[in-house]
Amino acid sequence: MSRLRWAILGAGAVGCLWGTHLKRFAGVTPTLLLRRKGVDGQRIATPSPSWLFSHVDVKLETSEGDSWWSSLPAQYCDGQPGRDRFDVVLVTTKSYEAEQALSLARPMMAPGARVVLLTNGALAAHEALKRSHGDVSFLLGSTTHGSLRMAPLHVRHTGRGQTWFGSLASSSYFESLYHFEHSVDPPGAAPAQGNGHGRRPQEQQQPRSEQLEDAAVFASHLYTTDSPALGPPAVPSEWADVLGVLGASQLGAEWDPMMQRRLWIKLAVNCAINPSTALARVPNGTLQINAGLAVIHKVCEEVAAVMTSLGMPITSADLEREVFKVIPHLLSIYLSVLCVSCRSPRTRRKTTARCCKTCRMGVAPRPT
Amino acid sequence: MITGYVLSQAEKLGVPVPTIQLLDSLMSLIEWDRVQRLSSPVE
Repeated sequence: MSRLRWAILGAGAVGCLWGTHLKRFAGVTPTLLLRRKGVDGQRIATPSPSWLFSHVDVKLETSEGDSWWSSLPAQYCDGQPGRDRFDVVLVTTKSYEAEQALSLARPMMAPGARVVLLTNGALAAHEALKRSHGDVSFLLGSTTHGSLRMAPLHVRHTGRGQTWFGSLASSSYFESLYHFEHSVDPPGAAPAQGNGHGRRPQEQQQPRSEQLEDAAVFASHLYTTDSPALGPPAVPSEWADVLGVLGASQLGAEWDPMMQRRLWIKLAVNCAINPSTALARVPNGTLQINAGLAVIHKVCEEVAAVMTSLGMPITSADLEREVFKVIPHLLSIYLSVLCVSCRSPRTRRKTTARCCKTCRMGVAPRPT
Repeated sequence: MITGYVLSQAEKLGVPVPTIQLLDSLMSLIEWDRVQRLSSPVE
């Protein structure tokens, strides 16, 4: 059994899903750390103030149709730190809340505590957190498990999926190996163009000897075998204990050595789908039969150019394939932002005005 | 916001992303409207 003290920052659908699974299957009892106020200044709905430093019962409806209760310790993250501080903090807040939430919780973290970021927009959250918490080691996660918050501390596991974890530090080693193994142009790499799109990545401009050196460094860090070609990548020792616990939770926890690439592809899919559906006020899955197709194509083209410039070569066609793989699974799901602001005359007026202004600036062609 | 992160990275790299820039502006307006609605008293 792990001796690490775990905390979960954010008691929404993802936080409760992982909290209940960690306790039931991994033998870890994480503490739920809660904020007193939401991002808009609203008080978080809580059953009673008396549950501070106490336990809460979290109800989980499983994807198989049954349900169970887990009793988890809970406390406000800006409360008094307890005697024992947390070694691992799993962050499951919205990405834009993560920085403030972690700052509040910092006094409760032990020296050398590690943070697992399991938020949508993990890349953006990680960038912000590294600025304010540069001394903390971060593990980034991405999950395809579906979960829905039915009520405070009541969650439904709507679909089983898989979860991947990785650190951005290790991604660069694997990107180096990838370029080394594929010599010049990896399959599907965008050809270099003179207009700034499809720019040749920096790693490919390196001499081959440097690529070899990078690959050797990566191999020495991440593989227990002599040859990187044998077997799956080993988890870096720094994260082995944490990943062991996450893996025991039965929510899947694979180590992904190319986590940065995975998160960027997810980002591309979200960029292609979410704004278009919100603006068109249609369910995500109907984009294929709407004018969103052209937007998807343009967004994928632009994200592919950014990824390629970051040293993760990919074509817009590859990204589009990922988008169209996801769309059918999203049918009838509306974005939360859309649900709140749907059919607002004020939004329509301001959106139209801003759109026209942007077009006049020459940023984008006027829609027809 | 999702598009905001891509925009910031594209800006650092000097990669033009006009479509994402446009979508980001539009999404900002929708988000602004959402916050206004949440903070307004219910009629």
